[in-house]
Amino acid sequence: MKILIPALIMNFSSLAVASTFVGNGGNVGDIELQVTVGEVQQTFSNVAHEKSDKDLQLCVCTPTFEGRPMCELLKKLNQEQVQYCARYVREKASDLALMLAEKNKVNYVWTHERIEVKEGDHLRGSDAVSDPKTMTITLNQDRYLSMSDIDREFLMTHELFHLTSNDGKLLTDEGDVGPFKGADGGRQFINAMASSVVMQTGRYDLFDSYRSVEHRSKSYKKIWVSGSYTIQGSPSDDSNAYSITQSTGPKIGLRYQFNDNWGIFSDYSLMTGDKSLLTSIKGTETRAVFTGGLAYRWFPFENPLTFAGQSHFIFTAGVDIMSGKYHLSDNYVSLDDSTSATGASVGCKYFIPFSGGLWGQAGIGYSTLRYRYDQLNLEYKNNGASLDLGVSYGF
Amino acid sequence: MDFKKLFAVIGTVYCACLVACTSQAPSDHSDEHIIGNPTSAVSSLSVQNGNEPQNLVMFDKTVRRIHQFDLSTMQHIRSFEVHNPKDDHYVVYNQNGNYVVDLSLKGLSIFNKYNQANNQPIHFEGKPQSVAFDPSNGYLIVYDDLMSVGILKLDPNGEVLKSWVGGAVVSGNESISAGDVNSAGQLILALSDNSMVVVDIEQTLTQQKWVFTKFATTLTDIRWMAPLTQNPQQVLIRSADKIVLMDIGAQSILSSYDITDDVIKMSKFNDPHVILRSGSTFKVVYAASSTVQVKTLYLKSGGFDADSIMNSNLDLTRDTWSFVDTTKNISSIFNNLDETRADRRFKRYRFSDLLATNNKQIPSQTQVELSTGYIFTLFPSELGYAVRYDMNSDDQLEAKLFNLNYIPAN
Repeated sequence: MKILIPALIMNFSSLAVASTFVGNGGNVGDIELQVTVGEVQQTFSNVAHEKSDKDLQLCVCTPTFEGRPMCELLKKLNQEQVQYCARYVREKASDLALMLAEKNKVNYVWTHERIEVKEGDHLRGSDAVSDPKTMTITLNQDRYLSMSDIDREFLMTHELFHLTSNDGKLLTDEGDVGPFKGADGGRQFINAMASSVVMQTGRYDLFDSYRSVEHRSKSYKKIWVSGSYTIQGSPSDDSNAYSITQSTGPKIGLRYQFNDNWGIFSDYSLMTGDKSLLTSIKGTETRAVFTGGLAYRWFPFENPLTFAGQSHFIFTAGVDIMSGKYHLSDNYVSLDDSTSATGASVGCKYFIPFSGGLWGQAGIGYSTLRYRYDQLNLEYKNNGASLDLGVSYGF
Repeated sequence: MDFKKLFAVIGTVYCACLVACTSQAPSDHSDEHIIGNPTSAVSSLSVQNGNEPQNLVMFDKTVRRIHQFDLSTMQHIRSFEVHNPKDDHYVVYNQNGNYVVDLSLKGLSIFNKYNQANNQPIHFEGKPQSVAFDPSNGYLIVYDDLMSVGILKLDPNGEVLKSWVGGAVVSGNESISAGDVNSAGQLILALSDNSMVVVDIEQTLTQQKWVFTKFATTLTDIRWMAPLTQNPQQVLIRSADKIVLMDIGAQSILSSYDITDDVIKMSKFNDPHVILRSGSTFKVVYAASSTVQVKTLYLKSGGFDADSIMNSNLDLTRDTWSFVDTTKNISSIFNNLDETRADRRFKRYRFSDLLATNNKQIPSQTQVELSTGYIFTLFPSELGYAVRYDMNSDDQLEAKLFNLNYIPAN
């Protein structure tokens, strides 16, 4: 049986090293954990509803897992152990499915500390540990996130079986359990069941169905970089010939999320607008705008395992610092005018997840930048709106 | 064989060869018989005393506005929006009164020094073809293509004091053949019967009819006349076959020269002169010491270099003869620097011994005005670009972006 040593328990009480799984998809590991829990819950549910044990083929190696260690583990079981294992999985499947489906029935806690369990008189490193008293499973987040989906499910299922009882006795890793004999008979039994559950998940194609969720970009990232193409409706002075009413250009951005909702951001855009007058006059305005401010993130949909559930809005409010240049020329002469201004801006962007950490984004903005080119007697005195389309990457 | 036919064919071929082999296209004389200068030859820099003018006024054919520049500093002073901007406009300018007369095909406007416009102070049915201006007395004579004569008297600020529009028939059945205003404020006209009249402009305006003194001449078909700058009673006249110097006070011919060559240019800038050409021989015919004088030049073989002359300026006081020529063919017999805008060269000679003193290329595509010391070039820049070149050095001064505030928003 895995046991948390006292020092570790003390460490877990500190927020600095442990955090409770939130489950809304806005934190590290939320999606991966929910995917694993979802896979296990659905597998137990399917097993519970199977009419024939023959179809289930519990606790035996299935061809698709041939060659994997867990398959080798099952091949070593004798007939009695197979039957014992299958019976227990079949018996507990319904309860475990219900337990996992019920909200807050099982608590999940992340830690970045090394987990050690006491076995006999020595300590053994572990990736997770369960506490049946509090119905809590503690996971080493770094290790968990580095695992494959199969290994994660194996680990999760193993810990879930620790929360079950066999003849009124909690399952532990130590000692004999039925035909599983020896000092680590319990571990062999639980590992056999966990392996079998993993294979059932594979049989039901649940890995594939959840794999798209796994690959989908996840919103819990802290640092976001973005690149976009912006169309800015400039606040124009229609009476002036040189007024350029629309400019376009690239925008790059950086955002840091302090938590699920709040963050800070900065954008840098380089907008260019052109104008032709009469037959030969060309006007080009280039505006470099640096924007910095606060960002608020809002998830309009609840289920983080879905495409919509990962999508979110970012509302921003910031300060704009702009420097502008206006180049006017014809075939003989040219003029260069410059200006600078500060203003405020608000914006709203909608982020939709692609895969591999990439996101698509579309947004609107509104800026109060007002400025003037003295040589051209050109004044931009109204607020301007913008449209923005681009991609982001969170890491 | 029909020798008559053969001679006719040979004669036709010979005549055609004579025309085709001439190095310069024949001048177009259809626009003769005018009063003053044709509108295309009017220059705001043609001041009577030949001094360097302070201001230059020009119709900008690119943005269709009139600009005024301070020629000494090249500062852009002001700009006028004109009526009917699509038509060509020509400007007459009074340096002292700082007012501008804007002539176009649809009439005239006068802009005073306060930029106030007086549009159509007189009514024409025709299109102004030529203009004579005496700024010291404020007399402005406009002659249109229907042969109406508009006479205005302007005060020093450009306000119209009196005006009258009369027909071309001045005396009996005789109509105007040519004319100009001298610096004494007299309108001198030649009539179709080869007589001449000296019009009392003041009385004509008062009585609203022609009031004049008439005398006969022995000339035939008077086509052009130019009062001398220094002696307003003397008039250089080009008739069908002679160039004569007439004293209108004595009503007699002082001197004459028989025209045997082609008349290629007639200029009143600054001292009246006529340029004749026959093959490689140029003749500058002018008046000095109360006689008609002729200076003969031999093209290239004698070192003199001129192609088609677009503009000629004889300044006897400063002993200079300046002209702009081009390798392009031109047709106008009067000064016109805008007939072609390509391959133009400004050349200046010391007139007494024909020592070449200046030879400058004029930028292509520019509108050009010449003063005593400057070549002013207005480039076809919609934003505005002009350069003033100093004739006596390589110095140049620019004016830029003067149209900046006049570009329409739509």
